Amino acid sequence: MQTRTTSDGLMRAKIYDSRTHRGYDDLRRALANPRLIWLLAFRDIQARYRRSMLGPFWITISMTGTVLGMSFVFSTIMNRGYDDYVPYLAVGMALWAMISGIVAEGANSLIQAAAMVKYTTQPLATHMLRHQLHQLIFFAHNIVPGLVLCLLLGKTGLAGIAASLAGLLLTFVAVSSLGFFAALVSVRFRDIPQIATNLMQVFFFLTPIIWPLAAIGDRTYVLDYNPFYSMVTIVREPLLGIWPPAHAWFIVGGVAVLGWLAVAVIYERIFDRLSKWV
Amino acid sequence: MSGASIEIVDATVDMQVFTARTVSLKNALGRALTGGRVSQGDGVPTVRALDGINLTIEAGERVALIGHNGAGKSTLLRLMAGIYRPTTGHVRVAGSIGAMLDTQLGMDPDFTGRENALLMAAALGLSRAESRAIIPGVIEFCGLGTFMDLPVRTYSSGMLARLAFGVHTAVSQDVMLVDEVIGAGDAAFHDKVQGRLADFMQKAQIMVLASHSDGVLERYCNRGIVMSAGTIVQDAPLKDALDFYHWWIAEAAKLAAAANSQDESA
Repeated sequence: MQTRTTSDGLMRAKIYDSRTHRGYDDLRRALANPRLIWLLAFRDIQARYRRSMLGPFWITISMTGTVLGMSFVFSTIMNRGYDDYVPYLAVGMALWAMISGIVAEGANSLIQAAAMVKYTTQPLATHMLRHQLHQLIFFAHNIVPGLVLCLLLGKTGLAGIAASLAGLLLTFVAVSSLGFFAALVSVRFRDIPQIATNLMQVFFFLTPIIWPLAAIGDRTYVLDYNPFYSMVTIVREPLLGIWPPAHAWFIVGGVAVLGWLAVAVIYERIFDRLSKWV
Repeated sequence: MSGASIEIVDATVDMQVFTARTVSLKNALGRALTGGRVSQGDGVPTVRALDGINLTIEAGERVALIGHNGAGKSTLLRLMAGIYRPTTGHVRVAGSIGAMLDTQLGMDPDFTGRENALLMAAALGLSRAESRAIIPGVIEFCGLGTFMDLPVRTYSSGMLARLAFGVHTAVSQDVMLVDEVIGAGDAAFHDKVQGRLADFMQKAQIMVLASHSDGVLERYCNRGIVMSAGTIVQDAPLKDALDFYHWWIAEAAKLAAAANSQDESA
């Protein structure tokens, strides 16, 4: 039983050299073991709903409740029909839960994994990636009511869903870089998780999630400088039967590229000190 | 593969000690804004955990790390494992590294022994099928029986150690780093460990073990490194290293006693 027949040459880094193996190597090792990332993310979800009968479906139920309650109030205030407003809100809320979860809770992902960071040889990036995947699984439960509504109301078809999925993928990659970045900085400066939480709260109100786009009038600068608006747009709009403008894609793509570049530079640079800071 | 080795050259490890004061952004900003002028006294205190370590370990060696608490044994193990990085100097390890530095090893107390074992196996890079395959052997080895399907928060520290040890010895590594974990088992466990360890050792080419128990060290090791205050003070065959350590402790105790009685008479 002591066989070590794993096919993953990568996991068994044959050489470790402190002079050359830093952030890049860590990230490479983390990505070489996706099964561990998946199991940890799954365990995080499981741990939360342990011994409950409905398990993770509570996520779906609570999102449905939130959306119904808010729809009742806000569709009246905003003077909008349920047909348009409820799916708009349901998709937007699910999406925002993922975005803010990845950034704000993500800031704590490395701090929370302190025991594994200090006592095991597991790559550190595993913990950031695990948290991001956890949020994606969460989203898959949260989006159900919105998706069902959009389909029932005939707002979208296969093309819309495909476009939305592509948008989701890009948004996930982009926002994950922000979460990864926040996690790195938070290890050293423990105020960052608080700042990130508050910042995301502000952006929640600055982004058209509960209020319709038209409500902003001509003060569109609120949207022009808000990358989260573009993220929400490229995922939500296709599901509502609207084609998002091309520049929204470019903005999110830009965040993804710049974000991961920044992460790469910083991760490699501060890697030597990370485990001591945790 | 042949020729596993550990090479540590001129390594020091500095640990910055953060308090709420130094960790927060406000203070960092404050320092930046005041140009470090006002805040001369509140730079981050640094502890040198390891100092001037030069060490080469070749395939076939079983190294004991000896020293009192705080001597730097655990830090040295973490340095070899790549968990701590040297502040100066460098570390180079050829061969796959296995580390048992803690009995928890990322286990979740609310999950069962089986679930945690499967997760640890995944962390070691095993596939789903391979992970499943090692479980019967692990159960047999740790003698946990039906406890295997209970949450590990119901386990004693010895049981946790057995589980961690069982999973980690199911996968052979070239370099094995062990901190105290073995000391947590009872006598029956040790007899079992020795059987499995002998097996395991034939595959592991290097083992480094930190323990306070001479018995444990004598059982498994052939080379002894005595540490004190983050430096290596003796590096010799195990017997000599242990003798030196005990002589050294006795001398230190005598000196302390002498100083004490001088204080009293004065």
